Amino acid sequence: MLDRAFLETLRAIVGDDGMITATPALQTYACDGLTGRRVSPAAVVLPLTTAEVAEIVRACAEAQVPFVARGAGTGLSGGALPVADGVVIGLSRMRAILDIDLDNHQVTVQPGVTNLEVSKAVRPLGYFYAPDPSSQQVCTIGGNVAENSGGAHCLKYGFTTHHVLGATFVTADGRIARLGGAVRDAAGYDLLGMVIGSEGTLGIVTEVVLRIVRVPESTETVLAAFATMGDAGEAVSRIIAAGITPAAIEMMDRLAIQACEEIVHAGYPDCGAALIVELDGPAVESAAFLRDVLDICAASGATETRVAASEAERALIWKARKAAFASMGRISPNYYVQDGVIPRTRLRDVLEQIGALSATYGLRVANVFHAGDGNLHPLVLYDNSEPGAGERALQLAGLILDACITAGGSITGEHGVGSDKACYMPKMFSPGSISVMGRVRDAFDARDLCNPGKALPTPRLCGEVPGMYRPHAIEMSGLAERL
Amino acid sequence: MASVAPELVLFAELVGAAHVRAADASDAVGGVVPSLVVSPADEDEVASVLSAATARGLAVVARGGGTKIDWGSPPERCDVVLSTSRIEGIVDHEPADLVCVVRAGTTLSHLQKTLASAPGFRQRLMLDPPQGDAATIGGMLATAASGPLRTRFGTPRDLVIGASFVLSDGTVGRSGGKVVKNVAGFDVAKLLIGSLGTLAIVTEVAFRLHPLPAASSTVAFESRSVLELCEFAARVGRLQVTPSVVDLHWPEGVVVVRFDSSEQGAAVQAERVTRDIGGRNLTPDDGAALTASRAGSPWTGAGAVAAVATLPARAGEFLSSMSATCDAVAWRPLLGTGEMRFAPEALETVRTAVRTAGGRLAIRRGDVFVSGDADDDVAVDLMRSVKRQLDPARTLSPGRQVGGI
Ligand SMILES: Cc1cc2nc3c(=O)[nH]c(=O)nc-3n(C[C@H](O)[C@H](O)[C@H](O)COP(=O)(O)OP(=O)(O)OC[C@H]3O[C@@H](n4cnc5c(N)ncnc54)[C@H](O)[C@@H]3O)c2cc1C
Repeated sequence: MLDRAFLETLRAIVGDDGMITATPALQTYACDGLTGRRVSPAAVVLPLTTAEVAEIVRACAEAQVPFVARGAGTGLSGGALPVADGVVIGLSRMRAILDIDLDNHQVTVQPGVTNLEVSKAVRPLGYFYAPDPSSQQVCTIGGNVAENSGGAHCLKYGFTTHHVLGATFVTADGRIARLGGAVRDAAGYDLLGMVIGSEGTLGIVTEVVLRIVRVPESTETVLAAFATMGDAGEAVSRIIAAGITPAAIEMMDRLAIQACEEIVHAGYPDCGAALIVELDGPAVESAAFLRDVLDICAASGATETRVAASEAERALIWKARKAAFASMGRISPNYYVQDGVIPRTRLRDVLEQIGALSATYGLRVANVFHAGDGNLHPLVLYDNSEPGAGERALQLAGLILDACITAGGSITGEHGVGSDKACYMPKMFSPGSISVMGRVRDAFDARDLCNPGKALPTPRLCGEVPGMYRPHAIEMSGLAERL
Repeated sequence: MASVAPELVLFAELVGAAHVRAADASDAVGGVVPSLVVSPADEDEVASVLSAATARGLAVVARGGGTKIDWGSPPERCDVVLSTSRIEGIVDHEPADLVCVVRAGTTLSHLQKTLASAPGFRQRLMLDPPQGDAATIGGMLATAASGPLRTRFGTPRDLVIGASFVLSDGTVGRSGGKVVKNVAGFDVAKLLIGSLGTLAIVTEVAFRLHPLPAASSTVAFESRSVLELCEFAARVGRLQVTPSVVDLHWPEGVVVVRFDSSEQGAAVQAERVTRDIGGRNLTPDDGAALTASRAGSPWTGAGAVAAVATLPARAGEFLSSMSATCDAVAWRPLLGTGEMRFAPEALETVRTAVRTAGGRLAIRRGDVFVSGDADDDVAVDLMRSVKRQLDPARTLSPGRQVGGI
């Protein structure tokens, strides 16, 4: 319980309509997209300005109350999981697009603006905001910055960190800093680069300057069907090896295709694996690369290829892909979204391992992923009403991460470590590496009040979790620690 | 440092006598002459050298190829130059994954040659900093140096996917990995890139690579009016084309636009520019010759060199005001960044003009070196805090960063 005087201090800053303390309403904020973990905060505040955020943070710092920033709550790693007896700072009311500056190819927004709103605002002017997480209709720019979010088109265009020029930043003790900026090459350390992807643990972003990109002249989208994931993976490797950089290469397996078809009816062929390849650029260039890609698909054993003939056809192909997570509900009562990365050349091999794990555990795994950059999203399907099924699903999901690490990859490509994977960090990083990250965190927030317990492992946190989360001795000893 | 001999013996024990020597005037860093040059062989030796230096209160400056050793403010102290020349070689190159891992003391030119010769692949690291041939990977990271390719591919921060490093207390750490997409753990490498060696010694770096283009087409637009040159570049920026290079050169009065793509893709984009806004299409030979002739600019020739940034849209006005003051300017109009050379006496004039334009200035060559002006006190405070956490004894390049960090 927070003391009454402290709550009144917060209320004075945000007013009655910016403050939530009633239990049922607090429940809404108890989890993010990782719905299995829930903690009710003591209070939620919804500020409107940078100054209000700074005042709230100062009040929390003074009273030693932990606080957690929250955007739309679509995060999938429990990054916005509240701290009991802590405060959630919801940025959803700070949703103004403050400036569109075409001369300098940039847009300034508040953190609660959704990803898609940015592109919508500049699209009529011939521009777009490149990072496009599948959750883009809902997720916020603040959340994107915190997670360094990616999306299908990041293969060509890069991630959030490549598109943020500057930010207004409230430090963990409530001071206001300007990091980076519209004028490039700010002197000193790249604090902005450090903050992007730090999962809200270093401070709160209250204004962001984004780079916008000219819409390409033409876009070609291919949907290719293959008998097996291995064949599709072969096509991916050959496309990359041919020196083509598509805007996106996405892959789905049979189960994922079936689930998506149930809700979107996009007419995907019934096949073992579907590949979506998108090429953009000047018309002659994308047409030339399109021919190359079609040849490569044929040579890799594609059973069918379709080229979207209209904007509507393209949109339908993408609609099915972007509905992949949501559609799992149609084929399974429960599912867990894993997020791991492998070198793209290891695709066939790791997918086989996932198949074997799925058989061993007797749980179905649907695969849908950003194949171009080796970012896997295995969806582990289970039924919570079956005793022990949830636990088995988590174990299986954990073993998939082990396979990613062994293949030379990563435990997360875009969903972040959050509270979900903090205890996996020692599998990827040596104690020395983690201690350096901890020292960076201390540099920003010595009192450990800003989103504590996320992103980095803590003894308290990782001592509590079941055995399956614990790193094996062999990994702790550094065998898995090879750059 | 009071006397050289005992320290020489100490470091000789750590790295071998053949790899420690007394320093001379040619080893000076920003005018400060060190006592010793120590060349550790690997990460472990770097860790022991740094621990020993820190325990004795010695200041250490890392040196790669030495091409940018004077960038940044002069160090407050410099006892030991830590040469990375032996921490050399390519650890891993996975052409099919378009990634490589390379030791910090490797020269960029050696890396590029190795990458280009992988059988069956044509690829490279898309960075081309000034004095790039002798530059090492570590030095390029510490200075965040980039060149014309920045317009399309960015700076080291955009292409580094992982790094190993050693802190001054000997802690060995790593961030990132060797896959292009990865958000696990704090991206500590971001802090090290552009740190001017003040936070850690980088020992190994993983990069994202790009395929070499099949073809290039170059457009040149000439004018004696800086404003006209800037306006041309801005119009290129509004076209639906993706140039790799858009560079403005003064006093030559030319904007060079280069497209790297498929044969057709490059040609079509170049034609689009000449048709819609002007300039002339160069033959491949002429394009290559023009690029080569401008490659060293503005570094070739005497005088001070400054790195400057302004809002892209304000550059025309700013550069016009500088056209008489500066002897040479190489500018990236789409980003609003560039380098300019001028007589040392003109420094105050340049500084005032940059300030008037709301820009930033760092002095890279001249009588004084300045790592730039910090424009936000709270940010500088955070930077100090980072320095205190990672290098509390101020062993590494003390005083070289903004605010005397
Ligand atoms: C169906 C679905 C599809 C998805 N697809 C993708 C995808 O393709 N690519 C991808 O990268 N992600 C994807 N995600 C994950 C998620 O949408 C992203 O991580 C997104 O960036 C989170 O934004 P949010 O506003 O919901 O943030 P939240 O979930 O509210 O918060 C996420 C983290 O950001 C912090 N935070 C929020 N706002 C701020 C702020 N202003 N300042 C500092 N810290 C802040 C929080 O403390 C928390 O740690 C998907 C999620 C779902 C549910």
